[in-house]
Amino acid sequence: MEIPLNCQDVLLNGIQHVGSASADLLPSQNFAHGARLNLTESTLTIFVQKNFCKNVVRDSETTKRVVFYSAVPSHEAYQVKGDVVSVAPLSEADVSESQQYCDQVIKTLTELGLSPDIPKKIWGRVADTGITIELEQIFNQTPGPEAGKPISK
Amino acid sequence: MDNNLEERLERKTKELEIVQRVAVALNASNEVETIALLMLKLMEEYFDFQHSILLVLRPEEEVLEVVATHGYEVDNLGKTISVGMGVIGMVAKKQRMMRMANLGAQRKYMQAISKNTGNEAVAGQIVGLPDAESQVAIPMMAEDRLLGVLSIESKKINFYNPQDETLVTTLANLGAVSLKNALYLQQVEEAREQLREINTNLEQLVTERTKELADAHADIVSSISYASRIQREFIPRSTTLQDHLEDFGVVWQPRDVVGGDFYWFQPQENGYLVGLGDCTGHGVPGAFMSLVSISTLNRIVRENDLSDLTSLLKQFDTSLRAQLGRSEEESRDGLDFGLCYLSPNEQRLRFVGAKMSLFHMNGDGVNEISGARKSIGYDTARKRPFRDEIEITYSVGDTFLMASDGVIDQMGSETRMCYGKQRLEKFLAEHKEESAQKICDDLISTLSIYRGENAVLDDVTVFCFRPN
Amino acid sequence: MIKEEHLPAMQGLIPACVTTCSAAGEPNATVVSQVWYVDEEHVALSHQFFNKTRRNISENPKAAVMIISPENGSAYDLTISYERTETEGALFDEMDMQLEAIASMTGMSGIFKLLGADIYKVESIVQVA
Repeated sequence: MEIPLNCQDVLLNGIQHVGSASADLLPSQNFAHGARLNLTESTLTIFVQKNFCKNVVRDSETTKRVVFYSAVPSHEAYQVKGDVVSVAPLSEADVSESQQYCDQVIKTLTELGLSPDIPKKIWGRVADTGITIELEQIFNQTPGPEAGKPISK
Repeated sequence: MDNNLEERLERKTKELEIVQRVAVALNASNEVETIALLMLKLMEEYFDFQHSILLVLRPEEEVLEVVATHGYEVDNLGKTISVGMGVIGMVAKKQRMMRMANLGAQRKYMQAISKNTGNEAVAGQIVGLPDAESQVAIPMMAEDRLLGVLSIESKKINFYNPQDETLVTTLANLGAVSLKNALYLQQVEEAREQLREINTNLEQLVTERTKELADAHADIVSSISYASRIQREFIPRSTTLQDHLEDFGVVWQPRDVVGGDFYWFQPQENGYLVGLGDCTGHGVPGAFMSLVSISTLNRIVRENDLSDLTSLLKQFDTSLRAQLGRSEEESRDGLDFGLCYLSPNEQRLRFVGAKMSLFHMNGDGVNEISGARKSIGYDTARKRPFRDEIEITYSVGDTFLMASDGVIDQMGSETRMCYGKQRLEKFLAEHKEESAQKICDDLISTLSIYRGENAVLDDVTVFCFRPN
Repeated sequence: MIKEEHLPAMQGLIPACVTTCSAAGEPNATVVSQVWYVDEEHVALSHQFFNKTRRNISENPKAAVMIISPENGSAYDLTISYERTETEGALFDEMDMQLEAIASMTGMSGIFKLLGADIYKVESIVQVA
């Protein structure tokens, strides 16, 4: 799949959410702590802390369907949908990458005016699990007339 | 817990102080700007609200104008915001308060959409901080009417809390009182100005009218003076009277410069005629009547023989009625009249009167010779006949007098009664030895004293004479 | 249900993520600028566009919302269920006023229309951070 660079940038560096639905159609969501794109295999690995994202991890393993949403302060945003390929512990490299991502988010939010303690409650956590999904569809979620339209297949 | 309570107490104390100080200022001053500035300064002093603005609504233009500001580098005074524009404009439009905690993020959101829709995002009118994050704006209302908006803002996100909202609302209400007072004062001043204008106009109008009236009055006075000169032409000349009478005295006092009384004298071949008339009306109408009467009398005397004065009187009556347009029907215009025909060679006097008496004074006293109880020209009662003429013989030195109703009907100030014929006869009895003019003058003086403070109600005419 | 400590998170200072799912179980995530406090049992979301979220809600009224308090960073996970949409009243007016105020400041007056205030019943609130 070809993904424009700006989209990749937003997906990897924006404020990330991961959402799911249980078998009895109960939605769940939480913040993600980073992500890794594999354009060759057309997958996205979402870094989460298992304890923090209990329901999403559970749904990933049962319904095998999650969504990944990421937005930057300029409100450019994208949503990725795809089937869950795997749910597995993160490598050290991924953990390190996750921590870098989290530090960057804390810095960005602090620059926006929040006290540093506030974002730390979420992004001060250490991710330990990766939910890998296929890059089935990416939707433009930037506010405006294009919102909801797929950018690629 | 104690700390929290202490903080809340301290907060409440500060709020009370600020409200008290503003309330005191409200009491002391009607100047909106003074009170507004104090309010804004106190908000920083007590609560660190560093940037605040007070705007007043200009309803005819649908804008809010900045009348007081505090804490801005740029001078915002006089700047305007359209109703409906931004937080302040929207608060004015909806007349509800707004508390915004992250204006920056919201503006960015809108700008992102604007960019994505291809719109050129146009920044709205800016009054206050261009980079404000937090803002509380309260409408200032008087009953249901919007007077203005009070706004506080900060560059910090989520700077204001609900207690701040409450305080600013209270201050906004106080501000509304000040604005309402100012509005009332302005209305009072406008009303005063209108009244001043009306007054000025009225004064001018009164001045103009007064002048018009004065001019009109001057014209009238001038006309009446002229009319008086004309009427005097119809009064017998003194020289004529001197030529035929041993002695005479006249008083001719119209109440209003001209009047309805007249005395009349016409020499004849073997004697002379003396008359006195008291026409209906005073002033100009009376004068008109007197002139009509005199000219009619002159004609009647010229056209008729004088052997029967009663017949002459009847002719006078008929002729006058015809001239006034009334013959058989009742008339309101006419005169009381007394006429004497003297034949000096025979020392004989013939008298006929229409509601007029002749007083004869001699050594025996005073004798009233009454006329008919019927006037010339009008008769409000049933038709009465004129009396036959009375003939008397007189001696040299006898004095005769006729007087108009103005003498007999004069009201006294002490007695509240008319002077009357009795008093007149008594007076004449006491003064009959005096000269004719003195009799007249003394009679007028006596009448004046008798009248006192009462007004002169009628024309006064007296004709007193001693035949040769 | 909704307590005083939750209220700062409902001022729109930090955007909230809302996840819904269709009747077929397909999840959808979006971010809203503000979750509005209605009363102890209800919250509201502004309805401005017809989008996937609304289509999902019409099939399956359940939604998950994550709100964060700007005062202390506490994160709350709400499970909510759609009840109704209001197109007038105090809440609608307040939402509309805010939307119009910001739109007018950015030259977007008249472009955005608040279609309604969607009222949700809060079924659970769990503090997750």
